[in-house]
Order: sequence, then C-alpha cells, then structure tokens
Amino acid sequence: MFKRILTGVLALVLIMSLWETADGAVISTDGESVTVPVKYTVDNSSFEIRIPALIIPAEEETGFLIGADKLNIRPDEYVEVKIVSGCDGSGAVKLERQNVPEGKDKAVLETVFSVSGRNISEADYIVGHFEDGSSIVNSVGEVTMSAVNVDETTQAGDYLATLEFRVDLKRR
Amino acid sequence: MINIIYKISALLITAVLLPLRLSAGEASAGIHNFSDARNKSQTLVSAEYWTGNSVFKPEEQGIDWGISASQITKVLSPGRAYSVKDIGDYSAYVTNEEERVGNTLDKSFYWYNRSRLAYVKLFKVTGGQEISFVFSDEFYVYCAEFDSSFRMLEDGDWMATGQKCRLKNDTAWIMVVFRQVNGDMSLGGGTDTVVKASEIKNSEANYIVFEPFSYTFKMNGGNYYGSSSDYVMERLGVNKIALPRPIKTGYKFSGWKADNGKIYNEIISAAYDSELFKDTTFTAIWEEIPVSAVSLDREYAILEQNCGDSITLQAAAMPDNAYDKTLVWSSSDEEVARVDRNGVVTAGKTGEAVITVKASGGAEACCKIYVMGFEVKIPSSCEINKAYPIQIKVYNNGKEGMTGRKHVIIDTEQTVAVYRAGDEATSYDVVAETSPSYAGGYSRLKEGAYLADITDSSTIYYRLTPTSDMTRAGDYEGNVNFSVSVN
Repeated sequence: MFKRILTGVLALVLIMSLWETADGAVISTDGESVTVPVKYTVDNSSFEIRIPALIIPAEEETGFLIGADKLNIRPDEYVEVKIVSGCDGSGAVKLERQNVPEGKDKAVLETVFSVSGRNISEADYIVGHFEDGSSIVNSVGEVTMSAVNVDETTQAGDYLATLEFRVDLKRR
Repeated sequence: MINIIYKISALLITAVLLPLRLSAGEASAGIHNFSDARNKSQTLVSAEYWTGNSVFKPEEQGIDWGISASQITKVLSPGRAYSVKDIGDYSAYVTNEEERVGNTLDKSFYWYNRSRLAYVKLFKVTGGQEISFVFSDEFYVYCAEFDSSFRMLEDGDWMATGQKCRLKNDTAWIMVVFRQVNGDMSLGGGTDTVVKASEIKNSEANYIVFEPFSYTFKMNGGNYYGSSSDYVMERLGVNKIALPRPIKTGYKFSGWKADNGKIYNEIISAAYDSELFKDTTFTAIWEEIPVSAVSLDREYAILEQNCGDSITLQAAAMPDNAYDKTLVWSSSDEEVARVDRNGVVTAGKTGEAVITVKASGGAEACCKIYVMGFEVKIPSSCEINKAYPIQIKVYNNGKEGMTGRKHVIIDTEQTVAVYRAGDEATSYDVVAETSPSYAGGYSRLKEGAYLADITDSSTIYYRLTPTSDMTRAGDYEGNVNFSVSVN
C-alpha cells in the first residue's frame, strides 16, 4: 500500500514538474491581447578540435593548423584552444636535445609561435578561437612557427618539446 | 292605447245617476270593471254608447260628467312644476264602492273606483308642450286634454313617473288620473289596488312638471365631443337621462359634482330627487390617470464587464393615456450596472443587479442584469514542448460556475517562428497544439480555429511543438499572441 502511495506521489511530482504553473498574464477585457515570449534552449553544444599529434618545425618558417570539426555551439559560445604549457611568455618553444647522458648539458633549439603575426604572449596563449558560424575554422587556428635556429654548430640529434593544449567552450 | 276616460265617465255616471253595486273582485279588475258591471246591470246603457270611442264628449253624447266645467278649478299659470298636494283636501272616502262621500266639487272632484283617483284640475298649457309627471313608483298617471268647457279633446295614455307626454292640442287643459299598481310597474298590467290619496299628498314627489330644468355641465378643463364649452341639457321632471361623458388627456372622468355636492355619473335615474329637481350646475371631476403597469422589453440581460458594454431597456407605461408617464430608473447595485434616465444600462463589475423602472404611482417593472466577466490566465512565457494550462474563468453573476450566455473566444497563431538568439538566420516553426487535459490527446490547432470558444469556466492545455528537430544549439525566441474576445 505504501508503495502505491509513494508511486502516486512521485507520479504527481513528475507531472507537476512538467506542467508549467507559473503565474501568467490575466486577460479580463474584451479585445485585449497579450504577446507571450516563446523561449527554448537547445542545449547540445558539441565540437571536435583537431590538434596535430606531431608538430615539426623546420629551418625555415612553417606552421600548423588547429582545426575544428562538427562544431555545434551556441551563437554566444566559442571554443578556445590554448597552449597551457610548453611555451614561454614570448611565444618561444624550446626543444631539448634528446638522449643526452645525464650530467651533460642538453642543447636547445627554439622556435617562436605566432598567430596572425602576433607572438603568443604570456597573457594569452590562444592558438585557436572558433565560433558558431559559416566558417568553422577561423584564422586564429593557424599557428606560425619561426625558423629553428640551426647552424653548423648545432649539435646533431633529436630535439623535442612537449606542448599541452587546452580546449574550452566559453560563453561570451 | 287604453280608453280610460270611457271607464271613468261610465262609472262616474253610474255613480251619479245610478247607484252601482260592484263586487270587490270585479272592482279589482280595473279597466275591465265596467264591462263586468255592465253585464250585471242592464241600466248602464250609456256605457255601451261610448264603446270604442276614445274621446269622451258628454255634451254630444247626452251624458253628464256629474260635474260642470265651472266647478273645476282652472290653473292658468301652473308654473314649472305644480304640486298636487291639495289632493289631500278630498281624502275622506269610503272604501265601499257603493258610496261616495266627501266630494267637494266646488274645487275639484274625486272619483274613486278603488284603483283610480281622478284629480281634476284644468291646467292651462301651451299647445304641443311636453310635460312630465313625478310621483312615486306606486302610481301611474293618466293625462287627457280638455277644452275650457271640460270637453275632452284628446285621450292619453298611462305613464310611469318620469315619462314624458307631448300635448297634441294648441291650447289644452289637462286632467290627470292616478292609478295605483301595487308594485307592478308594467303599464296596463298587475292588480289595481286602492289609490291612497294620502300617500300622494304626503309624498315629496307629487308634481306635474311643465317646464324642463336646465342642467349645465361645466367641463372643468375637459371636453365633450371636442368642445370645452359648457354643455346644457334639459331635464323634464325626473326622466332618466344619460349624463355626458367628457374626456381630458391624462385624466379619468370620475363624475359630475352637482350643486348639492353629490357626485353623479353616467345616468340620473327616473326617480325623484329633490336636490336635482331644479336647475343644476354640474362640474366635471377629474382624476389623474395613474400608470397602472410598467413593462420592460426583457426580463434579464447579460452584459460584459470592463468594456462599457451597455444595453438600452425599453419601458412602456400603461395605460397610454396615463397622466404622468414619467419613469424613474434605478439600479440595485450601481457598481455592477448603472442605468441612466433613458434606460441605458452600462456594465460595471461582475455581479447581479436589478434595474427597476418605476412610475410615479408606484407601478414598476424589473430587469435582472447579469454582468458577465471573464479572466483568462495566459502563461507569461512559453517554452517549446511544454504544456501550459490556460485557465478561463467565466462569471456572469459575479460568481464562477454558472453557465454563461456569451462565448469567450481565445485566438492565437497556428504557427509561430522561433529564432536563434544571435543568429536570426536560424529559425524553426513551432505549431500550437491544444488538449482538454494535460495527460494527452493534443491536437494541432487548425487553421482558422480558435484556441478556445467556451461559455463556461474551463481549463485547456496549450503547447508549442516544433515541426522539425531543433538541432542547432542555442536560445530560441519568438512571440505568440493571445487575444480574448467575447461574442
């Protein structure tokens, strides 16, 4: 019996939760009309950001793309791609020489990241900015890498840096 | 016609020349007495001589009246009305038909035949004049015309009091004969009884009327056949007369007030009334005609509140010729329904009010006003795919629940578009659906159909449903309109 009552109460609560009971406008005059706003939120924002698994700088300026696919976000939202580690405040990425025995100095190569001619600064490490719209990939997603400083004195070997990207869906 | 003179003279002669013995039964037969007497007495030869002759001329027929013309009082100027109270001077008679005493013929003579009393005076009248006799109802009067020598010129007829007789001769002298009818008012019928001269003498009504009285009717603001002038009517004796019936707009005629202060209406009967036995002035008495009833063209009306809904009540005061047909309107509750002096009722707040229209005399009529109201509760905003109750409360007497007689109509769009905020290029159509219950059974609002068309309180459920999947993330906005009208 208790179960039945409980079931009934729960069903009623469910119905009441679906049934809008908020106080509305009251019309009591012939010919009167009201305009009622219709609102609805489609809350299914989703996106896919493409970040290269491997970025290879060169002895000349080169770049890579941060891409966005299946972007379905609200018009007041944007997707932001940031480098959260691996890049210093002036946009420089330092690649360390690999497999260097312990105790010996590790040679470093450097390339500077810039976006739209502007170095990635300490203030914002944004390398990608994507909004809802006709163009899924915008210019901010194109990162330019300056030429690596290599010469005859550069120690041979593999150089590696690790970048950490973070992708945020943000609301304006 | 009855030849009374024939019988009078016959019996008179019998009385004078031949003492006649009649039985009481024969005597009561009245006019037929002589025949009966004749059969019993062969001495009445002269009577047969006059049979069939309506005019008795004794000098030509060799018969003596038993009284000479010189012995009969002649009244040369009887005036307008002559009283016969002097009849009592000769009241000593025996009731035995065989005897005749106390006859003083120097002034007049009485002849008594148990049922007829001849009051013989010769009144000089103008030829062709109309005269009337005023006596109590127990008597009939007979009038005959004579010349100055007591020769009969014209026979007459029996008349009841108030009846008129126009004399046929230019110069006439008349004799009157009384006959008592013992309550039988039919002329020539009934059982004759003894004439009691004392009753005639003592009666107030004992006149021979020679000139009519003048009755003047003053209209007092009214009119009679279009004339407001005094209306003059002549009344001869106590003849029955129909009084004029004047009219006056807005008034009811309630009679004529005579000089004596009494009110007379319609007719004055042929009965002696000393107060009307003279020239009299009557003044019309008018009474305002009150409004006896007021009617309204409807018993109830339903008005709608808050929008000046109004109705004009049509009132009628009856009768049409009422003096004051002014009507006063009132409302039992001015907040619910006001009414102006023209019967225009305007709705106020919901409730009931009684509009009363009242005439000055108190007659009134009522109309109940139900001031209808409604409240339609519309959601302040709508979300797609969510049901909203739209509550419609109908009041027609200030209370909810009574079936209204007006329709509350709610109209809305069949389809509305919602636009993505910040991206108005993206929109979806959503359609209105309605259901009588929340649980289900929603159906799309048809083109041209109303969301609601009801006469009583109810709740309907409303929701908006997109026509296609809304996949684009974001906030969508649109507007839906609801309008409410009463029909």
